[in-house]
Amino acid sequence: MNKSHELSKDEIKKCFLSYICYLFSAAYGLIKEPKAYGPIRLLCAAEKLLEILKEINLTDDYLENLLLSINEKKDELLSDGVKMEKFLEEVSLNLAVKLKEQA
Amino acid sequence: MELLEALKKRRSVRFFKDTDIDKTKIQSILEAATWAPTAGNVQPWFFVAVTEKNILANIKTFSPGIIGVPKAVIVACIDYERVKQFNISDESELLATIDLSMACQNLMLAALEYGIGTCAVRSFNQVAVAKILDLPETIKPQLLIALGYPAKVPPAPPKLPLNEVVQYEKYGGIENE
Repeated sequence: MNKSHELSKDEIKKCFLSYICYLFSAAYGLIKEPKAYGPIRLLCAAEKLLEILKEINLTDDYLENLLLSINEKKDELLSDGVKMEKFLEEVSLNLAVKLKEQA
Repeated sequence: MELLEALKKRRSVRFFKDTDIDKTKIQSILEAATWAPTAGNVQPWFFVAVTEKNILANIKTFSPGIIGVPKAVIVACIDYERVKQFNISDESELLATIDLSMACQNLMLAALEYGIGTCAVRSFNQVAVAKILDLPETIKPQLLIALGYPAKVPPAPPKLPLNEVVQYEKYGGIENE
Protein backbone atom coordinates (compact mmCIF):
# COMPACT_ATOMS: atom_id res chain seq x y z
CA MET A 1 0.00 0.00 0.00
CA ASN A 2 1.24 3.44 -0.86
CA LYS A 3 1.38 5.69 2.16
CA SER A 4 3.56 8.44 0.70
CA HIS A 5 1.29 11.29 1.67
CA GLU A 6 1.75 10.31 5.31
CA LEU A 7 5.53 10.63 5.28
CA SER A 8 7.03 13.81 6.61
CA LYS A 9 10.14 15.39 5.14
CA ASP A 10 12.15 14.07 8.09
CA GLU A 11 10.81 10.55 7.53
CA ILE A 12 11.76 10.74 3.87
CA LYS A 13 15.24 11.93 4.82
CA LYS A 14 15.50 8.99 7.22
CA CYS A 15 14.57 6.57 4.41
CA PHE A 16 17.40 7.91 2.28
CA LEU A 17 19.84 8.00 5.19
CA SER A 18 19.10 4.34 5.82
CA TYR A 19 19.64 3.66 2.12
CA ILE A 20 23.00 5.44 2.20
CA CYS A 21 23.98 3.39 5.28
CA TYR A 22 23.20 0.25 3.31
CA LEU A 23 25.24 1.38 0.28
CA PHE A 24 28.30 2.22 2.35
CA SER A 25 28.06 -1.01 4.34
CA ALA A 26 27.76 -3.03 1.13
CA ALA A 27 30.74 -1.23 -0.42
CA TYR A 28 32.81 -1.70 2.74
CA GLY A 29 31.97 -5.39 2.98
CA LEU A 30 32.52 -6.12 -0.71
CA ILE A 31 36.20 -5.19 -0.45
CA LYS A 32 36.79 -8.58 1.17
CA GLU A 33 33.76 -10.56 0.04
CA PRO A 34 33.40 -12.96 -2.90
CA LYS A 35 32.92 -11.38 -6.32
CA ALA A 36 29.49 -13.04 -6.68
CA TYR A 37 28.16 -10.96 -3.78
CA GLY A 38 28.49 -7.75 -5.84
CA PRO A 39 25.45 -8.31 -8.10
CA ILE A 40 23.41 -9.47 -5.10
CA ARG A 41 24.19 -6.31 -3.14
CA LEU A 42 23.36 -4.08 -6.12
CA LEU A 43 20.11 -5.95 -6.78
CA CYS A 44 19.14 -5.49 -3.13
CA ALA A 45 20.13 -1.82 -3.35
CA ALA A 46 17.90 -1.40 -6.42
CA GLU A 47 15.07 -3.12 -4.57
CA LYS A 48 15.49 -0.80 -1.57
CA LEU A 49 15.50 2.26 -3.81
CA LEU A 50 12.34 1.10 -5.57
CA GLU A 51 10.73 0.57 -2.17
CA ILE A 52 11.63 4.13 -1.14
CA LEU A 53 10.28 5.53 -4.40
CA LYS A 54 7.04 3.68 -3.76
CA GLU A 55 6.96 4.95 -0.19
CA ILE A 56 7.32 8.57 -1.28
CA ASN A 57 4.92 8.23 -4.20
CA LEU A 58 7.49 8.68 -6.96
CA THR A 59 6.84 5.34 -8.53
CA ASP A 60 4.77 4.27 -11.54
CA ASP A 61 3.37 1.00 -12.88
CA TYR A 62 6.64 0.14 -14.59
CA LEU A 63 8.75 0.62 -11.44
CA GLU A 64 6.16 -1.12 -9.26
CA ASN A 65 6.23 -4.13 -11.57
CA LEU A 66 10.01 -4.12 -11.47
CA LEU A 67 9.90 -4.11 -7.67
CA LEU A 68 7.36 -6.93 -7.69
CA SER A 69 9.52 -8.90 -10.05
CA ILE A 70 12.58 -8.53 -7.80
CA ASN A 71 10.52 -9.46 -4.71
CA GLU A 72 9.23 -12.58 -6.42
CA LYS A 73 12.47 -13.78 -7.94
CA LYS A 74 15.04 -12.62 -5.40
CA ASP A 75 15.14 -15.89 -3.52
CA GLU A 76 16.19 -17.99 -6.52
CA LEU A 77 18.35 -15.23 -8.02
CA LEU A 78 20.46 -15.14 -4.87
CA SER A 79 21.37 -18.78 -5.19
CA ASP A 80 21.66 -19.11 -8.96
CA GLY A 81 24.24 -16.98 -10.74
CA VAL A 82 23.03 -17.99 -14.21
CA LYS A 83 19.45 -16.94 -13.45
CA MET A 84 20.77 -13.73 -11.90
CA GLU A 85 22.71 -12.88 -15.06
CA LYS A 86 19.72 -13.62 -17.29
CA PHE A 87 17.42 -11.54 -15.10
CA LEU A 88 19.82 -8.57 -15.04
CA GLU A 89 20.19 -8.74 -18.82
CA GLU A 90 16.41 -8.79 -19.34
CA VAL A 91 15.85 -5.89 -16.96
CA SER A 92 18.69 -3.92 -18.57
CA LEU A 93 17.12 -4.33 -22.02
CA ASN A 94 13.75 -3.37 -20.63
CA LEU A 95 15.17 -0.30 -18.93
CA ALA A 96 16.88 0.76 -22.15
CA VAL A 97 13.54 0.59 -23.99
CA LYS A 98 11.88 2.54 -21.17
CA LEU A 99 14.56 5.22 -21.25
CA LYS A 100 14.30 5.55 -25.04
CA GLU A 101 10.55 6.01 -24.74
CA GLN A 102 11.11 8.89 -22.35
CA ALA A 103 13.62 10.67 -24.61
CA MET B 1 13.88 -33.92 16.79
CA GLU B 2 16.73 -36.39 16.53
CA LEU B 3 20.13 -34.76 16.36
CA LEU B 4 21.25 -36.31 13.06
CA GLU B 5 17.92 -35.38 11.48
CA ALA B 6 18.32 -31.81 12.76
CA LEU B 7 21.85 -31.52 11.39
CA LYS B 8 20.59 -32.39 7.92
CA LYS B 9 17.40 -30.37 8.19
CA ARG B 10 19.00 -27.03 9.12
CA ARG B 11 18.98 -24.56 6.23
CA SER B 12 20.00 -20.93 5.92
CA VAL B 13 16.57 -19.33 6.15
CA ARG B 14 16.47 -15.80 4.75
CA PHE B 15 12.76 -15.05 4.57
CA PHE B 16 10.70 -14.99 7.74
CA LYS B 17 7.07 -14.80 8.84
CA ASP B 18 5.87 -11.77 10.76
CA THR B 19 5.53 -13.81 13.96
CA ASP B 20 7.24 -12.81 17.17
CA ILE B 21 9.57 -15.23 18.92
CA ASP B 22 8.87 -15.95 22.55
CA LYS B 23 11.66 -14.55 24.73
CA THR B 24 11.92 -17.77 26.74
CA LYS B 25 12.78 -19.58 23.51
CA ILE B 26 15.49 -17.04 22.71
CA GLN B 27 16.85 -17.51 26.23
CA SER B 28 16.89 -21.29 25.78
CA ILE B 29 18.60 -20.97 22.39
CA LEU B 30 21.27 -18.72 23.91
CA GLU B 31 21.83 -21.12 26.75
CA ALA B 32 22.38 -23.92 24.22
CA ALA B 33 25.05 -21.76 22.58
CA THR B 34 26.98 -21.50 25.81
CA TRP B 35 27.23 -25.29 26.08
CA ALA B 36 29.55 -25.45 23.07
CA PRO B 37 33.05 -26.83 23.47
CA THR B 38 35.60 -24.17 24.31
CA ALA B 39 39.36 -24.43 24.65
CA GLY B 40 40.44 -24.25 28.26
CA ASN B 41 36.84 -23.41 29.20
CA VAL B 42 37.64 -19.80 28.35
CA GLN B 43 34.18 -19.17 26.81
CA PRO B 44 35.34 -16.20 24.75
CA TRP B 45 31.87 -15.49 23.39
CA PHE B 46 29.43 -12.73 24.16
CA PHE B 47 25.93 -12.51 22.69
CA VAL B 48 23.57 -9.59 22.26
CA ALA B 49 20.00 -10.66 21.54
CA VAL B 50 18.11 -7.95 19.67
CA THR B 51 14.34 -8.04 19.31
CA GLU B 52 13.43 -4.36 19.65
CA LYS B 53 12.05 -3.13 16.34
CA ASN B 54 14.11 0.05 15.93
CA ILE B 55 17.41 -1.56 16.91
CA LEU B 56 16.64 -4.47 14.58
CA ALA B 57 15.96 -2.04 11.74
CA ASN B 58 19.24 -0.23 12.38
CA ILE B 59 21.19 -3.47 12.41
CA LYS B 60 19.54 -4.56 9.17
CA THR B 61 20.41 -1.22 7.58
CA PHE B 62 24.09 -1.92 8.20
CA SER B 63 23.91 -5.61 7.30
CA PRO B 64 23.72 -6.30 3.57
CA GLY B 65 23.81 -10.03 4.33
CA ILE B 66 20.43 -9.89 6.04
CA ILE B 67 18.11 -10.25 3.08
CA GLY B 68 14.67 -10.72 4.66
CA VAL B 69 13.17 -9.25 7.80
CA PRO B 70 14.09 -11.34 10.87
CA LYS B 71 12.18 -11.06 14.14
CA ALA B 72 15.38 -11.26 16.15
CA VAL B 73 19.09 -11.02 15.57
CA ILE B 74 21.66 -12.51 17.87
CA VAL B 75 24.93 -10.65 17.56
CA ALA B 76 27.67 -13.16 18.28
CA CYS B 77 30.77 -11.41 19.57
CA ILE B 78 34.22 -12.26 20.83
CA ASP B 79 35.15 -10.82 24.19
CA TYR B 80 38.84 -9.97 23.77
CA GLU B 81 39.37 -9.50 27.48
CA ARG B 82 38.51 -13.17 27.94
CA VAL B 83 40.55 -14.14 24.88
CA LYS B 84 43.63 -13.09 26.87
CA GLN B 85 42.99 -16.08 29.12
CA PHE B 86 44.07 -18.40 26.31
CA ASN B 87 47.49 -17.10 27.25
CA ILE B 88 49.14 -17.90 23.91
CA SER B 89 50.40 -15.25 21.57
CA ASP B 90 49.51 -16.20 18.02
CA GLU B 91 46.61 -18.64 18.20
CA SER B 92 44.27 -16.94 20.67
CA GLU B 93 42.10 -15.25 18.10
CA LEU B 94 41.81 -18.43 16.03
CA LEU B 95 40.78 -20.41 19.12
CA ALA B 96 38.19 -17.77 19.98
CA THR B 97 36.81 -17.89 16.42
CA ILE B 98 36.60 -21.69 16.52
CA ASP B 99 34.82 -21.58 19.88
CA LEU B 100 32.38 -18.92 18.73
CA SER B 101 31.64 -20.88 15.55
CA MET B 102 30.78 -24.00 17.53
CA ALA B 103 28.58 -21.95 19.87
CA CYS B 104 26.72 -20.51 16.88
CA GLN B 105 26.11 -23.96 15.45
CA ASN B 106 24.62 -24.99 18.82
CA LEU B 107 22.49 -21.87 18.70
CA MET B 108 21.15 -22.59 15.21
CA LEU B 109 20.35 -26.22 16.01
CA ALA B 110 18.57 -25.21 19.22
CA ALA B 111 16.50 -22.72 17.22
CA LEU B 112 15.58 -25.48 14.78
CA GLU B 113 14.26 -27.53 17.70
CA TYR B 114 11.69 -24.75 18.22
CA GLY B 115 10.88 -24.52 14.51
CA ILE B 116 12.77 -21.23 14.27
CA GLY B 117 14.80 -20.60 11.14
CA THR B 118 18.26 -19.05 11.27
CA CYS B 119 20.82 -17.59 8.94
CA ALA B 120 24.42 -16.92 9.91
CA VAL B 121 25.49 -13.61 8.43
CA ARG B 122 29.03 -12.33 8.21
CA SER B 123 28.23 -9.61 5.65
CA PHE B 124 27.61 -6.78 8.05
CA ASN B 125 29.31 -3.57 8.98
CA GLN B 126 31.11 -4.56 12.17
CA VAL B 127 32.09 -1.07 13.29
CA ALA B 128 28.60 0.32 12.71
CA VAL B 129 26.86 -2.58 14.49
CA ALA B 130 29.26 -2.25 17.44
CA LYS B 131 28.37 1.42 17.63
CA ILE B 132 24.61 0.79 17.45
CA LEU B 133 24.87 -1.69 20.32
CA ASP B 134 27.22 0.48 22.42
CA LEU B 135 29.68 -2.39 22.63
CA PRO B 136 32.88 -1.68 24.52
CA GLU B 137 36.09 -1.80 22.46
CA THR B 138 37.02 -5.19 23.90
CA ILE B 139 33.87 -6.86 22.55
CA LYS B 140 33.69 -7.19 18.78
CA PRO B 141 30.75 -8.53 16.76
CA GLN B 142 31.82 -11.39 14.49
CA LEU B 143 28.65 -13.05 13.26
CA LEU B 144 24.97 -12.19 13.15
CA ILE B 145 22.38 -14.92 13.50
CA ALA B 146 19.08 -13.81 11.99
CA LEU B 147 16.09 -15.61 13.51
CA GLY B 148 12.45 -15.99 12.64
CA TYR B 149 9.78 -18.50 11.77
CA PRO B 150 10.52 -19.54 8.18
CA ALA B 151 8.41 -18.11 5.37
CA LYS B 152 10.52 -20.01 2.85
CA VAL B 153 12.88 -22.87 3.48
CA PRO B 154 15.41 -23.29 0.70
CA PRO B 155 16.17 -26.78 -0.61
CA ALA B 156 19.25 -28.54 0.63
CA PRO B 157 22.31 -27.57 -1.39
CA PRO B 158 24.29 -30.39 -3.00
CA LYS B 159 27.00 -31.80 -0.80
CA LEU B 160 30.28 -33.22 -2.01
CA PRO B 161 30.37 -37.02 -1.90
CA LEU B 162 31.74 -38.23 1.41
CA ASN B 163 34.71 -39.90 -0.26
CA GLU B 164 35.84 -36.52 -1.62
CA VAL B 165 36.05 -34.98 1.81
CA VAL B 166 36.79 -37.96 4.04
CA GLN B 167 39.48 -40.58 4.04
CA TYR B 168 40.16 -43.21 6.63
CA GLU B 169 43.40 -43.73 8.49
CA LYS B 170 45.62 -41.62 6.18
CA TYR B 171 45.52 -39.41 3.10
CA GLY B 172 44.95 -41.61 0.09
CA GLY B 173 43.25 -44.21 2.24
CA ILE B 174 44.39 -47.77 2.67
CA GLU B 175 45.18 -49.70 -0.51
CA ASN B 176 43.79 -53.15 -1.35
CA GLU B 177 41.09 -52.86 1.18
